[in-house]
Amino acid sequence: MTSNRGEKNSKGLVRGASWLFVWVVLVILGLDFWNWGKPPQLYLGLPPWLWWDVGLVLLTSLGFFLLTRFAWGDE
Amino acid sequence: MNWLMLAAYVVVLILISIILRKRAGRSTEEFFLAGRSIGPFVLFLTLAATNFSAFFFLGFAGAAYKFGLGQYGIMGLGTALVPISFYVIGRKVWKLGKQKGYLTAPELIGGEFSSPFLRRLVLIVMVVFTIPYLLTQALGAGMILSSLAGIDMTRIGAIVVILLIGGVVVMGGMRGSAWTDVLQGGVMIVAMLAAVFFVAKGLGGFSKAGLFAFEAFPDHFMRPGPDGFFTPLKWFSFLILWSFVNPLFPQLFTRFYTARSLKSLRTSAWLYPLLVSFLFLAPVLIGVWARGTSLSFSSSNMVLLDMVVYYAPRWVHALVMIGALAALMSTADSQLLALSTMLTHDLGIRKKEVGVGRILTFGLCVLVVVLILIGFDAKAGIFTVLIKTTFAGLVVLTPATLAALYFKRIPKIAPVASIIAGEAAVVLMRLRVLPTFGLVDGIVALIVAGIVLFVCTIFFSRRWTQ
Repeated sequence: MTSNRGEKNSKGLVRGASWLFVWVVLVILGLDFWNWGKPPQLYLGLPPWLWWDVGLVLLTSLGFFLLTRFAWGDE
Repeated sequence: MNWLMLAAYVVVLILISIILRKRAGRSTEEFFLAGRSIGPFVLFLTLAATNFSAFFFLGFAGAAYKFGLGQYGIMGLGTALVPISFYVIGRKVWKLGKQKGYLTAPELIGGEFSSPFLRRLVLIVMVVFTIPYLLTQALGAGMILSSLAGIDMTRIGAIVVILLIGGVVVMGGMRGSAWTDVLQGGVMIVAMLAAVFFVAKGLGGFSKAGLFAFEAFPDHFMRPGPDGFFTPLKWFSFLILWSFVNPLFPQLFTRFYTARSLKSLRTSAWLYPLLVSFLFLAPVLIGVWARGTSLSFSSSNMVLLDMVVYYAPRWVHALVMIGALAALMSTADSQLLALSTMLTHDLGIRKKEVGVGRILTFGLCVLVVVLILIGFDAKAGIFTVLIKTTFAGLVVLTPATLAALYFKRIPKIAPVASIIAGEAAVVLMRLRVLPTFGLVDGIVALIVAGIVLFVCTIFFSRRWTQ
């Protein structure tokens, strides 16, 4: 009984850590300071750093999709 | 044509509420939480529509017009990260709501610590920071109707819209609010996509629209942007702020309880960034493109509407007006219901809660009408301060909420002190006594609230152990 609860708790911790890890990575990728202050070349009317942000939004959705599949826990 | 489209929209809204009226009156949980039975599709759209306020159509393009494309990063990218709170907060809130029958945020936070005082404190914070926001939604509606009519009818328009919203909530309760959100969400998505498509077309295509604006105002395409607005610390602050503050809006927090199952919440978690963040790009683009035109605008709030009037067909203008109304009405009805739920339930009314909730909803509408009639000015006085500090004021609740969900054995004085210290920090920053160190005030307030919670937990736990 106790070991079951311990196992459940540790699985919960791993799931929580997975969400936090993905969130932190996305925040770090969002801090694209290497693009700061550069005079941009436009692609389809937008600077590359904005395309980077749009790509990150897609990545965020994909990341959360995978987390809801594999790190969501009991229904 | 414009008024016909508006009339059709209003008729459908009222019909949805009338259809759901009988069902809404069945029980307290049915009226306030739609019987905790909202499925994935409706939950996703109601979460998204509730988050799209007057700012989405009126303020966003204006901010991009002033500060450039960076506006997308701090709002769109930041908002995309919000679903972590669906896992960390929403999931636990849903489970506790099912287990213990909680209906509101104050009830859960106070209940988990067995502290009626904490419950009242959370209630006060949520009500104080939500009412001014509700007022701005109503006035935003008045502005939109004025633009549609071509005459100034801000106040009368605001009164008509708040009474309409009140009617929808009184009749349909949460289920009515959620289903009208589906309609409103659909309308605002179509309207915003039509706006960006036709404005781009009017300017000669996406690339040309961008190029014209870039040639006139290159700073708007770079960071830190005009006048160095987007500092790295400000960028970082906004990137993380929304993940902490969004779930603490009472109208969003309440929606976590309404999910039929965790599957509903799970689906919203990955669809939310996809829809919300991509749609945020449209008003930002229109705002920045306006820099490449020779148009002048009476106010920054009118940038998007004026661009649509000038570059899009008339029917698109009408559609965008209705979309803007839908955006602020979907936020306002959720705020109204969240407020009446809290005021009914957290003030201890136990008999005929549905009836009292309906009366309180109507009472809140009357309060808004009175404030508008006596000359409430969204740009003046205490309300401006409250609106400007809403995010900071609400994010202060995050450490106490996390403690209630995960560490409810800590001394109850810790969350109380955390909230009081956090709100004090918000006031001190507004008075410029406490520096923000280049961060936005919400992040500083969050840090203060978090530190106080931690220190109080250590201090009082040790004292009790000894």
